[in-house]
Amino acid sequence: MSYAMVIDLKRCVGCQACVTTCKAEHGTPPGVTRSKVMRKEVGKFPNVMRVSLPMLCMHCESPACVDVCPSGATRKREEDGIVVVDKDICIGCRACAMACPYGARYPVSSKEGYFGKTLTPFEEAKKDGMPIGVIDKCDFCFSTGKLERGVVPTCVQNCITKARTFGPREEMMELVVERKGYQLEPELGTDPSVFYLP
Amino acid sequence: MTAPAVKNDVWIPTVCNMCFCCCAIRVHVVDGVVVNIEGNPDSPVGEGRVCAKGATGMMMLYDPNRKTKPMKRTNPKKGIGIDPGWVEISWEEAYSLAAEKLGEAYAKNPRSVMFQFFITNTITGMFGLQLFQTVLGGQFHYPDICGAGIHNLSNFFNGTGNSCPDYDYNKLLIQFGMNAGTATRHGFNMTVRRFADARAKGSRLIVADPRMGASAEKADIWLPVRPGSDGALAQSFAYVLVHELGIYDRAFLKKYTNGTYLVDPDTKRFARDAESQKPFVWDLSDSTAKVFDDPSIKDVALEGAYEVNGKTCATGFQLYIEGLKKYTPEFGEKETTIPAKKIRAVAKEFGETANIGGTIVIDGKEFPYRPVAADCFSGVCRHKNGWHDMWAIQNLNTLVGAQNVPGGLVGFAPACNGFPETGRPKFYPATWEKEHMLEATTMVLPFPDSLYEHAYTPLKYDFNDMSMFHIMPFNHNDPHFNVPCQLDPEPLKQQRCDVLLAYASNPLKHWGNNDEMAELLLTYKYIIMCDHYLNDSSYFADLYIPEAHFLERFDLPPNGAMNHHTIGLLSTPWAYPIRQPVVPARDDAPGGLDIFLELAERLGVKDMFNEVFNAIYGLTGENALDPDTRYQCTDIIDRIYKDWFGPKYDLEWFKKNGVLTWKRSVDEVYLYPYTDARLPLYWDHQMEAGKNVAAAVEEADIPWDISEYQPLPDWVPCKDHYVTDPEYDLHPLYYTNAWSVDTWTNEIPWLNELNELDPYAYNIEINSATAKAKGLKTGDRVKLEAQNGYKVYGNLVVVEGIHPEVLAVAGGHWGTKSDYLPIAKGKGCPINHLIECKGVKRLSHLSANFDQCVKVKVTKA
Repeated sequence: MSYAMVIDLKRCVGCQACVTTCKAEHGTPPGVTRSKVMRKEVGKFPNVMRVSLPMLCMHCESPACVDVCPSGATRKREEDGIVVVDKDICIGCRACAMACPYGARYPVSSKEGYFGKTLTPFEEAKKDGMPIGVIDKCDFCFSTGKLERGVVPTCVQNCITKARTFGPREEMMELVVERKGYQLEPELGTDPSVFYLP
Repeated sequence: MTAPAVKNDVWIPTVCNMCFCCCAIRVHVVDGVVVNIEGNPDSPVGEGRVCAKGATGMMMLYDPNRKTKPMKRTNPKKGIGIDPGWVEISWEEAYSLAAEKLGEAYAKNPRSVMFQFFITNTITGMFGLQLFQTVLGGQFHYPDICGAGIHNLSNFFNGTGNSCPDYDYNKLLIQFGMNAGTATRHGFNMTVRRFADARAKGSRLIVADPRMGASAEKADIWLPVRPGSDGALAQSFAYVLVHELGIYDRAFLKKYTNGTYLVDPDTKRFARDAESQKPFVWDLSDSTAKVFDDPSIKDVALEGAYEVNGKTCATGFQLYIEGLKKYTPEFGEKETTIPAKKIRAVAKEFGETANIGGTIVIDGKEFPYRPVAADCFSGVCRHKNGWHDMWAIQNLNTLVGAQNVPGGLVGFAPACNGFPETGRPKFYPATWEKEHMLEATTMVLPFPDSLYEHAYTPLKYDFNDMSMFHIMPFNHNDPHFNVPCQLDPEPLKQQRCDVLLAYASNPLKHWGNNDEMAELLLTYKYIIMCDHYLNDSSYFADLYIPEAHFLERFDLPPNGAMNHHTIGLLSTPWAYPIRQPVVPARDDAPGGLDIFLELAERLGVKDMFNEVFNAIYGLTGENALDPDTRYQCTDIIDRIYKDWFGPKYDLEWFKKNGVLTWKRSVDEVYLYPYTDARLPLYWDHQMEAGKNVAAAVEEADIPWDISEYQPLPDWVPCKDHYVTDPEYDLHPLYYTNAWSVDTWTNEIPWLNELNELDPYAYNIEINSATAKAKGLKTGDRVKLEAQNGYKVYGNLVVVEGIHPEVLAVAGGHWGTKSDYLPIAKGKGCPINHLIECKGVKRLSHLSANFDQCVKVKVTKA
């Protein structure tokens, strides 16, 4: 079984709540945005559209990051398809970040927090999950035990437009087929587990 | 080996304050440290979700730049960048200094003290600070540019001071100058899910906005209007509906508006029965003029003109449609730049989707069903003609019967039957019987008010009240004339205030040119600021009193009566939550209300304070406050909760359970057909108000423009639309994105990071064709200069999603210069700085709308 996520762009308003709730859940340091919203324009004025595209790790079925990892720290879990980084093993070589076509991987390189050298009590409480010198990425909130507790990832739970749906990929595919959903850059053959509904 | 200590691991329900919306949250606290914030799923105020700002509360809580000890200045020299020489002082010294300065001013002239707050903590602002102002008798300032006029228009049309589309049943929404439910607006986090549901079900969205903001991005049709032309667009839509398509809801207009009342052609006032003073209508069945409520009326005339007492009197509706004649789609195209063809198509879609004559059964009750709405807010409010523009927009709803019925525009919470166990709070809009018009229950707490009585009350100019409320009968929210009067009291024969008590606000940044606002702050002899941070305005403060962060304090019931910063609708149960501390306050700083209670005690007005509390919250019996007892915030909220909901629901119950909710019923949401009180179509009462204003200003010999007091809406261009110098060819405007609010939100590093990653927020957007014509490109450092000589600088980003005559930035008040806000400092382009503050030419003299429409030339810096 693999988990998948479906993001309905008809509902999404690009509000960034998925970005900051992810930070509140995981305490990611400056520059690390496991969850982010990309923006682009299509067309010319006045026949133009602005598009907000929420991004995260695509938890690909054929992930480009796994093959290039020299230490074996990055792997795709057989039981649920989540692509994880074992931070005890990761050597921080960034090969995975270079290989990922979706920009989903972030090196944690600075000891500084959001307010400089002195970490806030919140950052102190979260820092064990954010060791320096290794790669951080979205793990569908596996590391904070949400899935184990039967709770969906934070960005799904909190989406204020209810744009996100999460579950076993087979179940998600029904919605994807019905709504003509798509993957990002399917030609690369990575077969992402994150789908977008137009 | 010792076993690991058992962690103290709790989730505590409370209420967010990262903006004024006050969504219910639950905070994860482990061993005394906030480790997460989520929405509280037990509350409809957010439904278990938080917005981008809400999730960052702990980053403000733990911001080392937050000042949590009282301080006084030691350097008498004031100015931006000049070190005030802050020294920490004891709370005793802070309170006694504040009481001394306020007491001295109060003894000299109570009106010499200005109390000011901004919206973020509305409840403490209104019922702590403003209550303090009420009992002391000072003046009051509230720089609400974004809601000016619209709340009072909502009072006239929707029985309460805030309106929204009935998203649950709406099929077509036209938004003018707003990003409600996509990035902003009261009840944003509640609205956004309902609005997404509506879009998912196929609701159509049409957005008039010069910039493709969050709403236009989701729109089916984007109408990139010229700034300040929304009223012209609305009138053109109405023209098409009336004069080209003949689509309007005759039955609604006859029954639920005063459009049938006959108007005397000479006075433009209603033709009235001499004895009863009731307006006449025309009964077509027997060709007779009758008073509007004559039970013998069989077929009332909506259109036409009829002979009454020797004069040919048209109906108000007839005059309305005649007034529309100049607003052809071609006129609309010229002023708005939207093609006439598109104006016709949108109007047609609106009219046809309105489903005139259709009905719907909800909870066993049959209602008219009009699933269309025209809604507007901040963008339109920022123009001097805003009152007329918003009025014209509201008239689109009235025209098709989409007011106070399923699918149309409805009040947030015009009516409440009360908690089933106690029947409280209970409110319902009254009827102004003289003309059978719908009154309002207003906002925040239910303060039933008669705007019509205000119109008919003779006015007297007050030479010691800069708010000008005394000559603005329809404006009791926006005391914006304080700004020009404090800068120069002479023209309106006013007197300046000497002492300013500013709570949770940054006066220097929230209005116009920052240098003029600095000049304004220098007019005060003593400034007390109560805040979390030292901001731009703190460079002019004498005393700084810190307030506890919202995760460290109790507050009065934060959502009031659920009629201001929470939306209503049938799908929203009533909800009364608690804001409570989840961690101890840093340096034991108290909450705002406790600060004001202490000052009230020291100033000897505790008794009045307590009495006013009893009155505004309706506290009775054993829950009423004793005038002579010094209470804490917790005592007061305990009494409010018990008094409203019964003894079981005391402070302890709320601390544990977080929120009390119960189901909302249809009669609380849809006023029609439960009442037959009418909406104004022909504003005879506005003519009466204008007459009273004219008399008052004539007696006082004050220069005052009364041209806005008209019976029907009209569109006039903004002041800077008349700028003809071709060099000054662009309108800069600002917008709010979903993750930012005030100057301090850029100090929240996660939010600052979002703005830094966003291609638009900290830059100046320019249309690609305009940029090309001027030889400008993305990344260019540019100067924007207005004709008044004011300049701002910023970095361009060339885009397609913006009107060619427009430049756009997020947050026109940004670009803080405070060294005490190191993350926010210098971020963003403060285009407010381009607008002059002196003089009253930019202010509506009816509704205090502040015209922020300027024209600039853009050059490489």
